[in-house]
Amino acid sequence: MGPFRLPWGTFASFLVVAGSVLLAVLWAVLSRDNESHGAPH
Amino acid sequence: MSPTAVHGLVLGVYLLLLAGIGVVTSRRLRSSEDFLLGGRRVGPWVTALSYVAAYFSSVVIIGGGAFGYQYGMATLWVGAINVLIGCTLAWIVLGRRLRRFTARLGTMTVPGFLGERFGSREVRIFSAVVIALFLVVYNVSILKGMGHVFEVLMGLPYSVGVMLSGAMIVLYVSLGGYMAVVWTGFFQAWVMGAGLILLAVAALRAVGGLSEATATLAAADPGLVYTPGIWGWAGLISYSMIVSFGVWGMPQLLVRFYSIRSVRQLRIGAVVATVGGSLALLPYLIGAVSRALVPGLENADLAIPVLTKMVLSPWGSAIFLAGVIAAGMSTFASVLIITSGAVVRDFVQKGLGREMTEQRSIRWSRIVSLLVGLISLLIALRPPALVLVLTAFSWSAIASTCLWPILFGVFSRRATRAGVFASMLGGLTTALVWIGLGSPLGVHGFLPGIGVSLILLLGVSLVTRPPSSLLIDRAWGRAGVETRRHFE
Repeated sequence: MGPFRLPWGTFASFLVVAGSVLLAVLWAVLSRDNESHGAPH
Repeated sequence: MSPTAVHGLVLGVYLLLLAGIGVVTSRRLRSSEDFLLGGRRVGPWVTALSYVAAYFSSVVIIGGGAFGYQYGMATLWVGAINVLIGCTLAWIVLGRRLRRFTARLGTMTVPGFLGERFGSREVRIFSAVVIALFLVVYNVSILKGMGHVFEVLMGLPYSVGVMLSGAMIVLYVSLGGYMAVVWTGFFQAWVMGAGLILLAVAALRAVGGLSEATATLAAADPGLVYTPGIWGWAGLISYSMIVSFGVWGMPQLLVRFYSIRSVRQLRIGAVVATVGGSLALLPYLIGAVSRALVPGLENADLAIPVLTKMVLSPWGSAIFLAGVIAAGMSTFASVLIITSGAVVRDFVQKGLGREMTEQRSIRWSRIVSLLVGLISLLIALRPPALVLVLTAFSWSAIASTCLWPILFGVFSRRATRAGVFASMLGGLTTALVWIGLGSPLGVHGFLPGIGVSLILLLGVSLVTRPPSSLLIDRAWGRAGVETRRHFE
């Protein structure tokens, strides 16, 4: 059993969703920085 | 007030609101770009949430619940992969490039992009015909799903449910075009989210929490709790790929990237679409929890409707019913506008070379939306197969035809028009033959379809002459930075 008495597989699926949100936020921040520095797209 | 009266009242108010959006947006139509893309002026919140609403139809909610009931907690992975590949990566990998390429090429539809990008009228016409034909099949599956929801939750005859929802969508799409589709989609995403969260919370409270639900399921069968459990890796991976990677070739979702106001807005859109897309976990979670609460159902498709009646008040179940209907209607409306664009813009105007004024083009787009909607409605009254069978069939056919040409269209300068045409023809034929043979080895036609499509695109492109530098410069925008600035 993983955290919160959930099986590791179920817990990991929640982690994938949290990771996706983090990835989208990181991409949004990094691509804004690239644009403000005039990097080619 | 009786439960039926509550359901009728909530749905009546909801349908009136949708009709209102159709009427308001119809006043802003000036050109065919307004009708098909909302004039490329749509903001990130509306674009992203209408993407989520178009992605998750009522089929996903009811069918996803059935999968959760049947296979347990492992199905949460389908929702998680939907979020990662179908939402986050689709926006990051495809969004920016598709927005830029379609603006530079001045195209409004997926067949239009493929035709202009590869300089081929045949590619445009072929993809338009495949999209129009198989999206009608998808339309039928959505209407069939909604008909069953009305039947089970409200006790209305199936045909009345189909006619009521179908007629309302056809009305607001033919009136307001794309703007009506995205604004109703935006509104419907909130209703859908509220309905799903309400049911998930009520179900978890009824069972005593997620840990308790897990323990109950493990006691019944440990395979319902562990990954991949009783489903097995083959089923879990192939299904997840169809409903996640498959959307990269689905025009009703890709068109959201064409229509967003600017490339910069895609950043906000990616975050909103990912957070909104996280709702995808809920149907599977609710389905699995319902197995702990109402074991022994003969038909897993009834898991969510039965649970709704069991744990929600009449007002709560009315909101959930509206959410399911919202999910179906938003997808149907998105599909309708794409079909209309494929027929009028790509087949009649560009394919057959019929000149039209902007007003005439809008009028014909409205008429075609109306006709395609009515045809889908008539077929849905006597549907030929199960909902999920129809959905998987149409998705496989369209994704096998369009997925690689779109990806290579925005990433490769070496892909040739012959390679793309061979890829589309080979991918479609393989998917259809594979499904026709009864999906050998338990593998769905989508996987061999996209496999053959990729091999043909690479192979034929390598042995044919590379595209002209003019075609490449036009797509990649080397002609001048001004072009890019103008569109952003």
